[in-house]
Amino acid sequence: MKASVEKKIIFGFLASVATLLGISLLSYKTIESSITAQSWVIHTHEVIAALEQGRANLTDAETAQRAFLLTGDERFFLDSSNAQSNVNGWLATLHQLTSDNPDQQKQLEELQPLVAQRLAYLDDRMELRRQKGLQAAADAVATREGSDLSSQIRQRLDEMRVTENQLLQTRRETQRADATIAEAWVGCGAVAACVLGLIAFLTARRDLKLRARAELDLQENRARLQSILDNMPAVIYLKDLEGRYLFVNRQFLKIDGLSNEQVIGKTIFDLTSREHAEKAQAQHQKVLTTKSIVEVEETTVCPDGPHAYLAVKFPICDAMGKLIGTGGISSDITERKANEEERKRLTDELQRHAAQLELSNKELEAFSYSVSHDLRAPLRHIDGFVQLLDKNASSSLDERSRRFLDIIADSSHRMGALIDDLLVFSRMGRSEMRRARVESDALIHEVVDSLHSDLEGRNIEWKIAKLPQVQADASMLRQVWANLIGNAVKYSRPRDPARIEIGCNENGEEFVFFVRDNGVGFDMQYVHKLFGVFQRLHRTEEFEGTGIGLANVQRIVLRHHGRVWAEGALNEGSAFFFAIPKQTIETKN
Amino acid sequence: MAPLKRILLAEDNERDVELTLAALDEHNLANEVTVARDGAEALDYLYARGKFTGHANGLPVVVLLDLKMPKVDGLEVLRQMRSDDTLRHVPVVMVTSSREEQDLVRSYQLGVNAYVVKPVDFQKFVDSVKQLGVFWAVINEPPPGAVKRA
Repeated sequence: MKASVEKKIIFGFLASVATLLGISLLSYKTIESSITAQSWVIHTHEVIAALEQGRANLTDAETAQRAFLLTGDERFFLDSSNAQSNVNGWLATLHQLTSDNPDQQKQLEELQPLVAQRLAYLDDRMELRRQKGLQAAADAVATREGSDLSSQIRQRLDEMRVTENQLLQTRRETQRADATIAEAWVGCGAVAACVLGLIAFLTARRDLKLRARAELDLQENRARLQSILDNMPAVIYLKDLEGRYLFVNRQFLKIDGLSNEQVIGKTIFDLTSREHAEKAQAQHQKVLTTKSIVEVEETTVCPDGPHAYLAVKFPICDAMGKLIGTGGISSDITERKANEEERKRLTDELQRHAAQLELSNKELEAFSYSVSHDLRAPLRHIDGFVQLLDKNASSSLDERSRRFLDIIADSSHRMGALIDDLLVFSRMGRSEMRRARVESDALIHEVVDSLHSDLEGRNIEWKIAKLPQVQADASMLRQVWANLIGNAVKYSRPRDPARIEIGCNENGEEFVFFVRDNGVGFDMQYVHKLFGVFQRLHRTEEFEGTGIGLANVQRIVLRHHGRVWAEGALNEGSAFFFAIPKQTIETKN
Repeated sequence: MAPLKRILLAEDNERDVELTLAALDEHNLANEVTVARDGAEALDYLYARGKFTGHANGLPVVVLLDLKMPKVDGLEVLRQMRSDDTLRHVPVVMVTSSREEQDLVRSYQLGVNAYVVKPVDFQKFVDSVKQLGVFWAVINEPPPGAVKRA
């Protein structure tokens, strides 16, 4: 870009010089030729004048001769001789003047003998006068030989004069034409100079405008940059190679309460403690020698206490890549550091809690295991030996004792069922989820089939809608359906016919499944107790159960990121709902 | 001559032993049972060593193993049996109170043939044990080396 501008300038200059030089040369040439033509015109005038002079000289010689002839006065003889020598001189001059013109030279050569003869006649007549007197001379003159010659000479001179006049005409025209061309070239030169001058002026003016504009832009950019740098929360500075401040932003000045004048041109040694300054200077040197970025965390004591800064120090190069100094940007990270520490503290605490939780989970697992294995063994023994006793000694026992044995057996069964349900409940909270696409329809038919022993002798009107597929743990979801449908069957036992409806509604991002029955229902004021462990709204004699089923339902649905709730009215039936997200939420559990 | 004992019952709890034997007795299988009171005894019997040195009963048609026993537990007995060439094919049934998934998984990983949870209900327990005894000692064809009922 720059090179091309320079090229343009050089090219323009050379073109202008060449144009003006060319025009000057042409002007010079035409003026010169015009001057030459002029000199030819002058020359022709000289020739014409010479021709006239010749005629006059001849006339002088003749006049003097006539005077001598008449008077015989020797003075006239002398005059005539002088005039004759003038005529001869004139002939030589004329010969010299017409040396450029062969035609005239030829004429002159023809003229010369005539003139010589004429002069000879003059001398001859004068000699006659002197020797034989006036009469003899007059007789000789009367032959008219002399005057004929004279006429011939004058005629020749006229012809030469005509030739010269024609030449004069031609040469004048040539000179005029040359002069016109010369004028034209000079005019061209003037116009070209004007045009080039105008171009130079316009170009210069445009450049000046652009430069002014660029300068304005630069100032604007600088102001913009300054305001950005000033309003940044970071401390920013630029230093030269020796560590003298070239620029600092407002934040820099604010920390120490200094003014720009107090900082620019100074080094860090002028501004802070020696110890701190030496550290900073060492970093400055490191940036210069490594030519790379140096990051340091620094602590600065401010009026409101110590502040932590993260300083990034970097080398600055000029446009040619030469190192000219360093710059630094320090961000106040006091708050971030505090946050980090707080977060670390919280994380540690969380980890401690997690560890504790894991520990108690392990304990719980061990407990469950022990319950599963050790608690069931004595129960089994109670039941086993009661049965054996009943078998061996029933005949020797009275009715009451046998009833006691029944109660013992029944109690052990109930406790066994409680332990089993509790274990299932505990397992549902701990076991890993295996999500997959689950066909709800198939699941429900499986569950209904498994209830066949409870359905014997029952009159139930089933109304089962078509149900969607869901992403869930199949065995857990089966547990949910088994509990809800089992409850519906159980609590509708007094009804004939019992009606059980199973369906699903879509609600935005979730499927809402429900099981509705026309059974004994419940009082809505106890609805909050439905999903609690060991919470029951009926006595065992009315409806058997351990009070864990719905707690299990809730636990499973929550693990699927869903919701459960129930609606009901005493003696009018109840409806249980659970909602499961359509999209799987990917989590560990 | 002592009758052939073709079922090995490894069970530490004597009441469970008694109930199990009572259950098997209902099908006249009690006499065919040898009882080991822990895992170590069970292994002694299988290798005919310790207090079982020189017994001439050969390999049992089935081993009923309790999971939790002193000294050597059921899983360890199973592991040793499955890594022994002669005992590898002897059928093993876990008979236990535990329904814990980890126990189930471990057992099947080690190559158990069946896993039975002892029901609390005695009648169900009797049924289970009876079925086990009948299936393994009567119906099932044991691997070569085990003694088949005449």
